[in-house]
Amino acid sequence: MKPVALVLLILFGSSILSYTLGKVHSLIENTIALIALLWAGTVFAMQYGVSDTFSFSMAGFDIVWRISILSWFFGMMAFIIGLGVVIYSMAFMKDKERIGYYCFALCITIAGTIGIVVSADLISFFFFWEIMTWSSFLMVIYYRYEAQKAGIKYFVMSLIGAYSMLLAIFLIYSHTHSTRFDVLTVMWENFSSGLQIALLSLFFVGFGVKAAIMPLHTWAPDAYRISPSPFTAFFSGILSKMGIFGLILLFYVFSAGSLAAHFVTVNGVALPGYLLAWFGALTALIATIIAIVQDDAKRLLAYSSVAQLGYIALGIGLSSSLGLAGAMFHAVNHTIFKVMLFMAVGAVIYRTGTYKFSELGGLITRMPYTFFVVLLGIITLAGIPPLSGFVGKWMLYEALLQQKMVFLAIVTFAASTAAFLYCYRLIFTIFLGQRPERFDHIKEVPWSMRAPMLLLSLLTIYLGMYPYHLIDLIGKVESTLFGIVPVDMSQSVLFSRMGSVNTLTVMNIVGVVFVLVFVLFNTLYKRSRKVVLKDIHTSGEVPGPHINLHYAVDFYQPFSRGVSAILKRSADRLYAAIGENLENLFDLMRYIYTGNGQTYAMYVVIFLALLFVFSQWLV
Amino acid sequence: MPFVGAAVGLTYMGIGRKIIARVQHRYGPPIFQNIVDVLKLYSKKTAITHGVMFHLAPNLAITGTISTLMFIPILSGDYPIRLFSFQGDLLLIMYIMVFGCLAMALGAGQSGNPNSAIGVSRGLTQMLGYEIPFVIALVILMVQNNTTSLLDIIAAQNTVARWNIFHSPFAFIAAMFAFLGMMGNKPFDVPIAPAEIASGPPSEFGGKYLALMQTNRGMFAFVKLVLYTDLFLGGAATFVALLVKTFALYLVQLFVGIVNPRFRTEQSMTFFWKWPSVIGLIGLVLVLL
Repeated sequence: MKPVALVLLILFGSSILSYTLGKVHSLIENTIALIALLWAGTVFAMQYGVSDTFSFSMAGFDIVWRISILSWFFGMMAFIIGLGVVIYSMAFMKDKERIGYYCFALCITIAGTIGIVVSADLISFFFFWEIMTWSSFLMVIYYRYEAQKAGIKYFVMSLIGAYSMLLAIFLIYSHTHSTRFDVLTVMWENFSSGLQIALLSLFFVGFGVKAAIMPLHTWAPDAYRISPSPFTAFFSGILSKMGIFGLILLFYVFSAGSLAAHFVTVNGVALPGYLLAWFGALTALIATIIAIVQDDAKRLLAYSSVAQLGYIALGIGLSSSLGLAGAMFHAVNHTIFKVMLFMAVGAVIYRTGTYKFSELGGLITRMPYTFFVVLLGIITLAGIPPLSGFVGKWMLYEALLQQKMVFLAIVTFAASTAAFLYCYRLIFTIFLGQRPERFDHIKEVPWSMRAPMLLLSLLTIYLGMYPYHLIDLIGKVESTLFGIVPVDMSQSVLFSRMGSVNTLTVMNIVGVVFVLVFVLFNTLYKRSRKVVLKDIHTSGEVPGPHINLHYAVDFYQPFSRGVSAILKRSADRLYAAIGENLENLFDLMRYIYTGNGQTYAMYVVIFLALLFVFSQWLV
Repeated sequence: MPFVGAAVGLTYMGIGRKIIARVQHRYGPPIFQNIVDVLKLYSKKTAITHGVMFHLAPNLAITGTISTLMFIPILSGDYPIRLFSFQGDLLLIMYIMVFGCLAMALGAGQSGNPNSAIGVSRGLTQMLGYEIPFVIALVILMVQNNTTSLLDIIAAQNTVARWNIFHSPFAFIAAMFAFLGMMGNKPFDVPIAPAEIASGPPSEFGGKYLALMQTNRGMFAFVKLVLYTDLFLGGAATFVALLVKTFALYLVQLFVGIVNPRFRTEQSMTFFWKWPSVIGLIGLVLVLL
């Protein structure tokens, strides 16, 4: 059997198997899921650079599944994170209700994701896309009643995306009479400009909903907040990347760089790409500003996720080798650090039962490992060297400056600076400051939750030192699929036309200086005296046991005052208003469909009378 | 080099205190008072700590500052001191500068003092303000010279007329406003505001910790001054020239500080988004044309 078909068979088969056998014992489910993921993952990983194809014909359509190097890139991400999430869920979901349902939905989502990346025709792409959407919808409504609103919102937005994608597929089929990607790539050049605009905007809506590009992001904060924490990590890490995968397909596989011939170019970039870049940059800025004022760890991370995907969309829009490499590097980075952060916040919820900033605080001594993970996570998120977050941002900025897109660069810089604010809020209000008394005796989370987080943290350090290994892979993806010259890079030195950075030197300098300072500082002085948390400078007043000394409510009040003009507007409220107005409009229907049986009887009589009159008249 | 930086920075602060005192008709402390204070703090035997992050914060802060210093060329004449600046560019400097600040903020956070947290919150808010004109100014320089390397930007300013202060005055003005915010002197001393929040973030630090923090403060001031000298004043060929140029820059923000009261927090952020950014954007449009 072809490996690609085998992978899909294992994944889908195992999810059904684990659901049915899971009725016997909940341990079986996890074991089956783990074994299936490992097995499928190994088979998948061995297809590196092989470009294995499996095709058959169904109802007159060619169904093609192929593991190209681009699918390998995204598929491996899904496998690694999926494995981490399954291991994490084992402890997190223990003793919770409906584990079978949870496990089934998680497995089938992973399977759908792999299905998307291996599809090489539009029909199976759409099919797997829908499987992913449906199964993730099941996850969003896991907490039934409280999740109702978020679930409906996610569902409606996904439907809009799916319908516009379906429309685009019909359009393509009516013009090419084929749904294969390779046929589409060849035929795209012959499409008229109007058709191209229609296809681009329909696909943009389809992928943009999943990637949560503003203004299509409104489902994300609610859905991320309400879904079970391990799944939120997968949601933000992998599912949102499928939107990015779609955008890469659209801009580099479907249209294969032929956009520039049909559209005006701005700064050397075809107009669709340029617009996408602006969408991305503005998403990054606005979502970051909204993230800063959230009082809810998961909503904050959700908005942050929207913002980070904005950077990636920006990189894809740039249509240059460096920009795309930056986008893909940042996509990997985002997957790693956002999964770390969502898992860490999940760990906090697991122990404390809350994700409100105003109720948490001072957990560093109670949950040191989780603190460490969050610390590395926010350093990567903020793009501070020497971790890997810096490399991705560096490539994006260099790409922007090379192409003289200065205004985009400034917006992106501003968004990236603003990210420091919510990063600090996240780590401070949960882990630092004063601890509420009721959390004095909580413990660190079990190892099966700690291990995935810590392994991912090691990965960011490693990629910060040797980004070469990842950039090399990205270069291969770029050269084999897009025919773009891969980014210039040797060992640990990053090059662009404008400058260079040696990441290893940065890491070494920071490391050596820190060790020197630390050793000096700790050998020259005796140990310091440790004091309790409340023993602080309070101008002579002794704080009583119930005085709240933790500054967590309205942490950036001056900031929110300063940007109140931006915060006033909301795409969500706009949609709600549109929905309400439409509802009022359709309310007119009620004058016809009154719900009264007599009215309907009258309609029947009138209809018969009319029929009678006309039949007389016609004959 | 870090020691020289710290000494220079602290001496400038001492001179600054003297000048402020004279403006206010006081006698003022001796010029080397700040250095003496730091040495005294280093000789303290005991210190209290609030936890691991509190203990690590001053170490990490000074690590960040020294690392930043390593990527900034100090002298560029016949006997250059370039350190590791050929291994990194301006984008790296911009991001690695934040490393120390973040560490300090984390340490201040663990101290458990609400004033520290308020100070950090204010500091970050203000940072979001001044980074905008700063970034605009840097983008102007980078696009103008078509490089992100600080060494190349210095090399391009080979004659006095080509110094960026004259060559791209809009960038310089925008960057100078950002400089006021960056140095945290008077109109922009919102994060430490002694009268309101008891000097904010460092309020719990004492003894050896405070000593390190003060050293770091002097060194960081030196780093910023050298960075601005490199960016706008053509770098420095000799150490004397470096001192003259950095001291001139130091005086600018000092004099602004003496005659101005403190901004409110949101004002100190939105101020930067108005005129300084507009001036910067005008410069940017001029460069693109």
